[in-house]
Amino acid sequence: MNHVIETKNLGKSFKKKVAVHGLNLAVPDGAVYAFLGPNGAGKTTTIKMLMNIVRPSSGEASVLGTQTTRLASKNFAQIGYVSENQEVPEWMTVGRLLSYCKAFYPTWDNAFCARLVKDFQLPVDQVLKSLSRGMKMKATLVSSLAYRPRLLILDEPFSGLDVLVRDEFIRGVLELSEQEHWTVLISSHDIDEVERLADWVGIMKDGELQLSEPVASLQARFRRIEAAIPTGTDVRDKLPSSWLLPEQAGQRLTVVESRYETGATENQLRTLLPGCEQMESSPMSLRDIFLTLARTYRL
Amino acid sequence: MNLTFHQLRKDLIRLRLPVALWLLLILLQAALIIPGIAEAGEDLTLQAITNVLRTLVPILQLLLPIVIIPILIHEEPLVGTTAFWFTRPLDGGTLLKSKMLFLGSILILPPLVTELVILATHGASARQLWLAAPEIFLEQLKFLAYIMVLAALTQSFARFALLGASFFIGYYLLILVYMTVVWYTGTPSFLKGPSKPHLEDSRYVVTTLATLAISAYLLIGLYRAREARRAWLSIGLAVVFVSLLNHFWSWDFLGRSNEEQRAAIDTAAVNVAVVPDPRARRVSDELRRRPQDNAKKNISAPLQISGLPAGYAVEPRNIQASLTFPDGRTLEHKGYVSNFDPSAKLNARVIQEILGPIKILNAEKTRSNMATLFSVSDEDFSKFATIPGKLSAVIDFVVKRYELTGKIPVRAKARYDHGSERAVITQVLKQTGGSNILLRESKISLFFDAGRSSYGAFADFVMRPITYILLNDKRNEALWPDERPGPGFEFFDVLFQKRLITFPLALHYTALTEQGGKLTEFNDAWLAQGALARIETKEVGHFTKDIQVDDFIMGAQ
Repeated sequence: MNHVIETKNLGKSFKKKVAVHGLNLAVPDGAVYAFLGPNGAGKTTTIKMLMNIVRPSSGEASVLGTQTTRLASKNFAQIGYVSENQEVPEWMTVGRLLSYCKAFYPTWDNAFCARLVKDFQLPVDQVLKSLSRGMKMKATLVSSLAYRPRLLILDEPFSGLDVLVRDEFIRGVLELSEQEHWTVLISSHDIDEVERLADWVGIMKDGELQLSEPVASLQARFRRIEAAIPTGTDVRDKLPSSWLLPEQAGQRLTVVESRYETGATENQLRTLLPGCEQMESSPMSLRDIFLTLARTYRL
Repeated sequence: MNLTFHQLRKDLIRLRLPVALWLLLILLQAALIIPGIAEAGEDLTLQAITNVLRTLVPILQLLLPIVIIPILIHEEPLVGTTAFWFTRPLDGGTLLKSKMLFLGSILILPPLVTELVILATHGASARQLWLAAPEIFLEQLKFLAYIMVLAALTQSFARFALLGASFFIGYYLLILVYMTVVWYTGTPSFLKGPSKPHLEDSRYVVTTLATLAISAYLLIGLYRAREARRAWLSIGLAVVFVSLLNHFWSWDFLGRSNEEQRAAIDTAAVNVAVVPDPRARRVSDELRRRPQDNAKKNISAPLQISGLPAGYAVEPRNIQASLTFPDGRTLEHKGYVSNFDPSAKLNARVIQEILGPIKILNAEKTRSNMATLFSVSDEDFSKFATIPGKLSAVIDFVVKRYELTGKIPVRAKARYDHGSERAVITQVLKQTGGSNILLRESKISLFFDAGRSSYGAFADFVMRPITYILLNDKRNEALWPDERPGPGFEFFDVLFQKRLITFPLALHYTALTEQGGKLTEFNDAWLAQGALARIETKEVGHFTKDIQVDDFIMGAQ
């Protein structure tokens, strides 16, 4: 599998504080990769290293096959980057921003740009300073999409956006990434924002990557199991480590299996807890999986 | 290259208002100076109004780059992690090129061209313009380089201003600390050495070039790698390096020193002697800088100088003397002959020599040859003041040649034009027994001009070696002026106007004695025949003389 982004033992420390440690991340070509984690987990620092904005303290990373510390203009011509922290030239109108950016990209598509401006309902004659945060983000997004980048990196793009704008934004990115077959890395601390978008997910905690796999595989192996167990059964110390968040209420046991296999999991439960019946397994949403992991590992 | 111009265009749009103001100020500056000195000099009311502008415009010209450059650089900041351009296909080299193009085309070229035009309209020759161009260029570029480096190391104007203010205050605090240390403990031995003012200009050029090279290195490094920490370290090292360079540079490649120049006269024929009469001595307390300094007395005596060819004068500059007493004790002294009277800057005797039969009627003001021969402690003075001793001294003299360079008829608008040196009479005011003549002088003083004083344009102004004698050829009579600054504007400011110097003079001539007696029949007819003789002096070399006085008595205070 080709990886558009790849890191090897990537690390970054600010004085004594370790922001990212031993990160091994691989984002496959064409994936929409949700890069999740709570605030301060190291997502933004990782992205800044990927964009060569900050230098790694250890390890290495490559983007589109180029070592990040050597990223040059020709590489950035294929990368779209939108971040909540990015300072846009606010004195420009939307139109001036787009015509300013256009000169940098040989692949700039005027018709596509015009379509995006129309779809996002951007006022081209207004200066960015006078626009709402959502409108500014949309303008920046258009300036990062109109040249059809191979890789789109969105760092917390939804922060501070209202629900309607967020929905438009997500819909826009979703449609485009499907149409254009772009690779998208989208970081967020809120799973709700990216659930509809992502086909891959990575979860960061305390500067380390806890998990990285396709959403389909994740949803296949995470199942909520509910079963009726005999009265007086104490499940503590009997469940394997892959069974997360066991909750027992009378005869009712609920547990999340993180390595679910049809049939095998049910048999294992019967072996561990003889007499259990009415066993049911149900698939979980990405949000529920994230919450399970967050509760288990205190993400 | 297209991206460079694209970027430049964007910056010009961004900064269109301050750039327009900047260009307007440059035009205004030209408009205030170019119309001519004589014309402006006639209307004193107009001058009063334009004087405000003449003060305001240079201050704004100084301040605007301090605003424009940070905005220009902070459009694409080099520090921080949030800049828009970091993730765009825009490399640092292109960015630096565009910024330098902006700097060159907006902040350097227009003021350079304007000043050259101003100089040209004031009589600068092609050679002078050729010499002025690098001077203006280096001066402007050095100033801008400081601001640019400071802006490149900051992310916002607020930080730039804070850092700039910190540097400014820090620099002066450092000087204060250094001066305090030197004051109380003396100059550190490794910094000691004779004062070499003639090296200052060469040191200025060398340190300016070093500063520019270091700034270029820092900016290229910052635009290539955005490593601010390394830049700060380099700045620290650069400050030390440039300071040492400034202190220890010893090659006078601009040839400012004329110490080796032999005087163009027969110096063997020149006799120098100390006036033997002890009553002519002057004893004065030396200024003490600190209460704990030893009290000293300066012993001065007039020098008798003879054997000079007509049109030449000599002035003592430095002295190395010893005074030996009968008991074998010897006092030593080495220093500048500071007691030389600067109030009468020209020697009336020499001027009389070059005027020939035309007699200066009121030539009582002539340059005194009083020279400080010795500086002794109060204790030694009390012991030896009245004891004759043997004085041996080696005195360094500077030779000056006096020349009559032109005559200006006494009427308004009459002028003297000699290349870039001009003088124009703006008003002639008659009065009983004399006249007040208002005159405006202008000259161009260029840093790279070999003839410039080693003390710079300031010295050219303060030690102005020119005077105007009011003479009447037909009657063979002349009057010495009482010279004062005249009314009206003057361009002389070490910060803003270094090359074109213009100042008004009020020359008062009187043919009346202090008691009211007439030196001659001074009337309209006398004045109508009159002309201002412009007398200039020029240093033409140095020589030393040994003097011996066997029974030298310091004298009484």
